Amino acid sequence: MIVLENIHKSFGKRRLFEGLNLVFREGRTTAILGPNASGKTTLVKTILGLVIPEKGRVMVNGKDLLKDVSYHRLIGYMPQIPEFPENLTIREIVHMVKELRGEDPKRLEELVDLLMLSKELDKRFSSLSGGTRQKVGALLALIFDQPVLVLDEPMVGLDPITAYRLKSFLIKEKERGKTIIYISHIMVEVEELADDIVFITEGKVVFQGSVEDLKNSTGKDRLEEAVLCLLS
Amino acid sequence: MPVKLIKYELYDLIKSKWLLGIFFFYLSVAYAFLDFGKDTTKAIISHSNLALITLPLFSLLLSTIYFYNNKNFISFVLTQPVKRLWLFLSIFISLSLSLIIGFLLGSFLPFYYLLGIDYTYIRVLLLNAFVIPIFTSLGILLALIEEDRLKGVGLALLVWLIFSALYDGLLLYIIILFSDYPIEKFVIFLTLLNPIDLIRLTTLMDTGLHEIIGFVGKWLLKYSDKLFMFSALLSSFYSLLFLSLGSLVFRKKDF
Repeated sequence: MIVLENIHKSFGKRRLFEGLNLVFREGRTTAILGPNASGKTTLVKTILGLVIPEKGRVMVNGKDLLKDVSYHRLIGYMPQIPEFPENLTIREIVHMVKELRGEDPKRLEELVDLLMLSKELDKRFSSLSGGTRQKVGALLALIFDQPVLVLDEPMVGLDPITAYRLKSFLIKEKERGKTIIYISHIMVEVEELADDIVFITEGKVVFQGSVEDLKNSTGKDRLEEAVLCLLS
Repeated sequence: MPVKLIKYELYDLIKSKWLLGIFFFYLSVAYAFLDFGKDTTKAIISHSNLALITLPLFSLLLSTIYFYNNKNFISFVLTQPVKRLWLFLSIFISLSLSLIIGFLLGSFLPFYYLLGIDYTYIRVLLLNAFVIPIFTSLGILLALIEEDRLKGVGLALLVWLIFSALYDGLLLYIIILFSDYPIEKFVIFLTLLNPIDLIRLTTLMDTGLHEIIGFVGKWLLKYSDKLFMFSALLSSFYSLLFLSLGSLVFRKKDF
């Protein structure tokens, strides 16, 4: 379980989070939605310890994430823009992350096949296309089989076949009981994947609950329309 | 843990065009100074003077640009079970080491090829290399403080200009302005404060050319056997100072 307690964060004069409280329950898939610049990526980065709050705590399974970096071992993160040392090959990057984590990747072959990366493994990161870079980001987030996955717009930039394969993989992971937190703007994808929704605008949680709760509270059958209701 | 990070960061940097460029730059200028000039001492001094102008520039630019280019990678590493301080130190060590390797190897090969092993040039090359950690740590600090890439690189260029030219200009202005007063010791103190000037003076003293630096050279003659150690200590002090400031910023920085 991931708990954000009384998070305060500001950037210069702009106060983003003022006493933000959120709970991500174990085994649930939560989509973080909201307009541009609403604080979605900052929220995800707070969960990961990349953004340090002025006040408040991020607890992963009851332990403070900022005080004990070993809890990062539980989280697989796929960034919006994956960037790795330019002159290393994918194989070398995988090896580097393996050494940093001090553990062997459990699902390397399976994910190399799924993401169709076998021919690219010995290519330098600098020579890869944007879509292939995105695949490398997905590969590194998933091969260690962590119980928590944090994904920042995972399907953006992927070709339709890889996006479909990755989505199917994530549905299976969800069924295996993983906790998945992800940002997306694609409502069809959210409807297929998410159990819960966190909707934020200007750093404030406007809605947190299940997809069904959202539809019921807004009286809309389609998620897209329900989300539009929240915006208006 | 930092060793594992350093291994991969260093490997990445050594394979970069930057390092290859730095290696060939010093290789060609060292060869040109030695082969075209008749006097070995002059060649060593010329190479050292050029290194003391270019090394701070390369160190500042490489470290700031590396930091901006790898911001997303740094973020990714921070999502792994890695302490912030270790990551910060690994970036500093791998950047400094790669530059030191590029400079020392590029400069040493022509010296060794044309002169064989000689203690004088080895000492001078090592002295020159002292500026690399100072300006690398300073470059990282600037990139940490300034979010905007263009402003950060501009700031790095400004810092280089201050240490390489403006500082000496200011000293000269002070000397002229207060020429009627006994300011020799104050001027020596100010000169020694700038690590580039200190290393330049140590190089000149080391190669026996103290006459060309006037009263500063005459005064430093008393301490000539301690200058190398003093340069090493002052360089380490500056590197540690910028490194400590950088680590304070890095620990609290949002990525």
